[in-house]
Amino acid sequence: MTVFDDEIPAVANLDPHLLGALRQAAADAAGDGVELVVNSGWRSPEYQERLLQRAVSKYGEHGATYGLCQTYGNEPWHYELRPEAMVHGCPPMYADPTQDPRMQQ
Amino acid sequence: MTTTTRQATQETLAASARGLTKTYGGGEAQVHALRGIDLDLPRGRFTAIMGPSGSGKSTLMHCLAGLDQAGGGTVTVAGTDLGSLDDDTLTIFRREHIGFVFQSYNLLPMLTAGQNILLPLELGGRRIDDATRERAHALADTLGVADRLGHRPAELSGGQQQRVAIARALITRPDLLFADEPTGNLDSTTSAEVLDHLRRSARELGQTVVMVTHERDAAAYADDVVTMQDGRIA
Repeated sequence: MTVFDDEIPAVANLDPHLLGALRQAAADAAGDGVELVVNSGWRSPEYQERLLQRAVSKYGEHGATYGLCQTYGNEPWHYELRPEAMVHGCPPMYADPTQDPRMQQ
Repeated sequence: MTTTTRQATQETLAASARGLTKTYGGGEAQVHALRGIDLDLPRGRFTAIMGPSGSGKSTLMHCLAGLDQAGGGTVTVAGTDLGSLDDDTLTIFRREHIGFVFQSYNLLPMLTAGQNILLPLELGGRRIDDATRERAHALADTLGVADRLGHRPAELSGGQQQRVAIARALITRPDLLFADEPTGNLDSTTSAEVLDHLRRSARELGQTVVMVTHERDAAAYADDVVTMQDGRIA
């Protein structure tokens, strides 16, 4: 969609000052033959919540509630039990196993 | 070994490794990722490299593919010793002889599926003629994404994106296709489809495929399974 699509809530419900600035920029860009496209704009609280739930089910952030934490950035399937995560949240992930001090020997 | 048998061996092997070692970090923080790997990858076969986290399977793949430099030993791909190539020559060699499929697909988001598939040829400066387009379409058809060629990656499911990525990897007819945890982000049904396509590229197109996976079910699709443990082949 473009910033001129008034009938689309993602555009129409944007903050008026932000929308004004975007439209000015888009109009000038159009003069240079460039079309500005909006990938994601305003979201309703319900839609935002749905996105969050989807992200949670995909990325499993709530695993921390059970002390389960993803260990390595390159292994989305690999979780380990970190009971302290129930209180403090999960520790930062290692990029991959070669970054893990436990692999050093 | 006589010269004759060595030639015969090179003809039947897509790649081989001898005495391969790799160490990350130094001093106290040293990680021995590979501790001396000897491996032959026969042409036209689908090989799975399995093993637990930190066993060295990804490092082995990266060294075999020339994405990472081994600390010691040799890697030979399509008869060429990768250690004999400088950075620029190695880049060109990879582009012409090796195809990659990654866990996170790595398609370019601003290009359509069709443009993504043709990209390796364009980067290699090859002219895209009608025959090439037909071949790209036939590959996409085999992989079940022919009707998605005009769509951008964001408009495709994970499984479709991975199948486009496989078509992109196969378009150059590489000597070796490497797949690094290709089903790591896919559900079990979609994983089965992707694995079936990899197996078919070996059986029907004679494509040599090497797949790194932590999943026993995925490895079961391969002709051969190499299991890694603590930087060695178990």
